[in-house]
Amino acid sequence: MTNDLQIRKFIINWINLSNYCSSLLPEDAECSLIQDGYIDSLGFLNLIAAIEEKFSIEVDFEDISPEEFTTISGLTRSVAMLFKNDS
Amino acid sequence: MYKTDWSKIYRTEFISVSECWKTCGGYCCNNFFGDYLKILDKNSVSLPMTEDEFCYYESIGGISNITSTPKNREFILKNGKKFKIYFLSCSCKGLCKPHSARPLICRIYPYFPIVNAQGQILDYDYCAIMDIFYTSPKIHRCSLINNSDLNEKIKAQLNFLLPEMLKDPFQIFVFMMIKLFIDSFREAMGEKIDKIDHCQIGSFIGKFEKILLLGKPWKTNYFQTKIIETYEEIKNVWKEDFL
Repeated sequence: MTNDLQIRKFIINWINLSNYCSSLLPEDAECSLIQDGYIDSLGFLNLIAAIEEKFSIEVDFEDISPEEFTTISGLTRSVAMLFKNDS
Repeated sequence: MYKTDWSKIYRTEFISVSECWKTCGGYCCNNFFGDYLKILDKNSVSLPMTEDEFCYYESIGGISNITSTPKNREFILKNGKKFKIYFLSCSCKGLCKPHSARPLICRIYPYFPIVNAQGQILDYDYCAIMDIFYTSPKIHRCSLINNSDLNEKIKAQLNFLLPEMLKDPFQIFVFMMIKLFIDSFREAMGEKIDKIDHCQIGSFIGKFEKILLLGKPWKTNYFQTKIIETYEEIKNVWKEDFL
């Protein structure tokens, strides 16, 4: 079963391995991914696509605001909710 | 294979309306709805370019007061074909230097041509992403749109000057892709910005941001298939694999 920690680790590893930002995100990072400059909007699209492929889900944050799902914690929670909604 | 002559494009004044910017507050170069954005850049407009155009733009030194690093995204079609689009983030607000280095999208604003696979111009649609959500030209902020005489004049200018670049199958593909992209965006948004109350603009822009950040309309099988079909159609017409 996919848990929050797995999702969070995937997000942080993906960003750190991408070419979008020059500084590495620590594992316990709390930040707004786009507003704090870690990735841009195009990069965020690619991240969503990567999450969909990795976890075989369709990302559709119906009731979640962009301010929420573009933070690391918010994105982790929002993705985790998709699994809970499926089960 | 015919390739667009970007040096000629950059010497071309596609739209010639004297000092139109004095009539609209420089609408085209300003992010008028920027204040409503929560995540995307409030102060700049994003200028897309094909890879060939970007190479030319860089070769002439580009616009000196666009200092942010251009972004690019490689699009990979389901048939494995790829192409890159570059994006400049511009906050010059119309004061770009030199003005002669401005990209194609700035030169043909407010429109891009709706074309068929043969490169024939069928009509025009808005090339700026927020403009696509207007229903009524009469209340649009751009004078080249809301003034019917000027509107006719600029379409005639585009009809005369655009066909040269519509001999390039890749350019035809780009324009057809833009049309697909914005039609999907319109359908996903549903509402139109000139049909909602002023107090609803915030939630309209919130929905706009969400769609752009998650990309849902462009992940559908329908959209992906239409791209492939368009590519195949252009390839068959021009007898060239342009990707």
